[in-house]
Amino acid sequence: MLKEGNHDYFLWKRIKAGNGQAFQELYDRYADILFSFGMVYSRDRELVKDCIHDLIFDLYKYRKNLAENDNIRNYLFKSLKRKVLASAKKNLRLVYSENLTQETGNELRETDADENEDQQDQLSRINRLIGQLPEKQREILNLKFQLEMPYHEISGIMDISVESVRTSVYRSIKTIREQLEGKDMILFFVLMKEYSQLN
Amino acid sequence: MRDDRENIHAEDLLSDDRLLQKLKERKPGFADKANREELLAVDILDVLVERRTKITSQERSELEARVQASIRRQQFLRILTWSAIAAMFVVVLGITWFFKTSNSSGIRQFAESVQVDQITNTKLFLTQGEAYEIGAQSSEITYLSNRQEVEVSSEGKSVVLPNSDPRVQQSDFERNYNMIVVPYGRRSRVLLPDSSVVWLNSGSKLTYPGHFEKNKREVVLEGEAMFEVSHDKERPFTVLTRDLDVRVLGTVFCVTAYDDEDVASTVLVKGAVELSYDSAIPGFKRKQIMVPGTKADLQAEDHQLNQYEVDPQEYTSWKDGYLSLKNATLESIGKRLSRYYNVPVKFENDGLKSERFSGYLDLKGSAKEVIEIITEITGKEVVEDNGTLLIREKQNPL
Repeated sequence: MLKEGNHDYFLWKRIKAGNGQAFQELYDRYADILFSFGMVYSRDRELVKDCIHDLIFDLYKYRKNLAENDNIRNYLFKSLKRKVLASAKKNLRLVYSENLTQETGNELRETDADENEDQQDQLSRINRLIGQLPEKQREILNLKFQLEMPYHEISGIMDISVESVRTSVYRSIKTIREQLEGKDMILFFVLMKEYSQLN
Repeated sequence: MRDDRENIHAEDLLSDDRLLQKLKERKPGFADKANREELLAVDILDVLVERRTKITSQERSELEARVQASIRRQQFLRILTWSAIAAMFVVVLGITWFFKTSNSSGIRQFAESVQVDQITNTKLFLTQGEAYEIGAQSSEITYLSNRQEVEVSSEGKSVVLPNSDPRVQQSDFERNYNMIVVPYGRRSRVLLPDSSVVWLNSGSKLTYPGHFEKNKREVVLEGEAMFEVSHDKERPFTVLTRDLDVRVLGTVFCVTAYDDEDVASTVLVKGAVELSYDSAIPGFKRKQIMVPGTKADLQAEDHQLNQYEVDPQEYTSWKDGYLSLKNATLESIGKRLSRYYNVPVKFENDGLKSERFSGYLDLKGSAKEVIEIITEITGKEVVEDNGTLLIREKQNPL
């Protein structure tokens, strides 16, 4: 980690100096994760790619005004998030749609030959429940498990404490678990209620 | 132990990095040993990981090419911008050069056509005819008020030469300039067409139009001259030298600008002048105003102009045939006399050069006679040596 940070520090210095090789290196290192990260905030692949292009290009254009920064990752993620949210809003392109995420989840699962139907149901239920979480909680879950980001990094991107991130993860999973476990109970209560009303 | 595991829910397993790591590193057959919460945690984890949207390798390389193209275009634009700035700079320089030269290039070019050290007699170049040579040591040149003739007087004789008719427009602009060149050992006094008076000291050259323009009076000087400029508010009088331009409205001043000296200086007797000289930035001029009783020295090389108080008499007395010296070094006196008389003056050793002398020197005698006055007072002696005057310590006659 320290080595990585060090590497980024020198990469940043070279970017500030306008070293063309440095921009290539930055792209090689960060293109994959930046795309996946951007897709957390939008479902529009083209929009996310546009934003990554702008992000690196701006870095080149305004490299002389860049602050001394030893955390490129944090800078890149925060900037990209801002860009994606801003352009999504501006262009009214695509709002975060749960239908799409559900489809994606199902599609991928269906290809698995070993999966039985119960398991399939369980996974799509989980996927739907994640989609029903409040936006902030869903964002944190995605960063934590999709992108495998450590707590301190999420805390840096979202400007909240590490403890808040951990608590949010805990609460989100607990909600999903309780809703999965309680689904039969809820159904039972609903039926009871309807039954009593009939009487 | 088993109870502990039962109490641990999926949210505990997934929110703790150490436990999470164990789930991620689970081996095949994990499902058989795992409890309900562990299986649930794995399911949630699987769903979340599956949600990750990956960039395809095609998208990745397309985007890479786009970013590279943008950066290259920006680099090109930057070079283009810099070239544009550079081009504008050249234009600005060109404009100032154009104005500077359009103002005075013709007269400056004409001034360059004759070198002071290539002539032995004073020469007067008029608008018409060949150069007129003056053999006498000192001469007076007067532009007559009929504006068509010039009178040259020396040693009691005088001759009237025709100059151009101001009513006839000259197509060849160059020929409108007049020039007087005074070699070493000679002096001349010129009454210009605007009735300004110029005393030219030895080794000097003055170039001026045969008829001054309506809005300005420009002359080019190399060497030393004393100006008594006739007052004319409408037509400012400017003395152009290699490094220093002196702009006047009507005043008496002396300009020293020998090409072989690094310092161009101006002594103002009365009135006011404005000095203009190149700043360290090419194409840009700096200006300073002078007040009477001061001397301004321009170090052309480092664009420094220093002004200080002086007795103007000291610097202008040569026009009346004497030198007024106040604490002047023998070296500077030697230099001035050698120009005045066109005789090389040398020193036996450098120590003599820095000795100082004050007083009046009458310049009616020969160079040797004048220098003897100084050496007598300072306890030195002067000897003629192969056409050179050598100043040295007095030799003991014993």
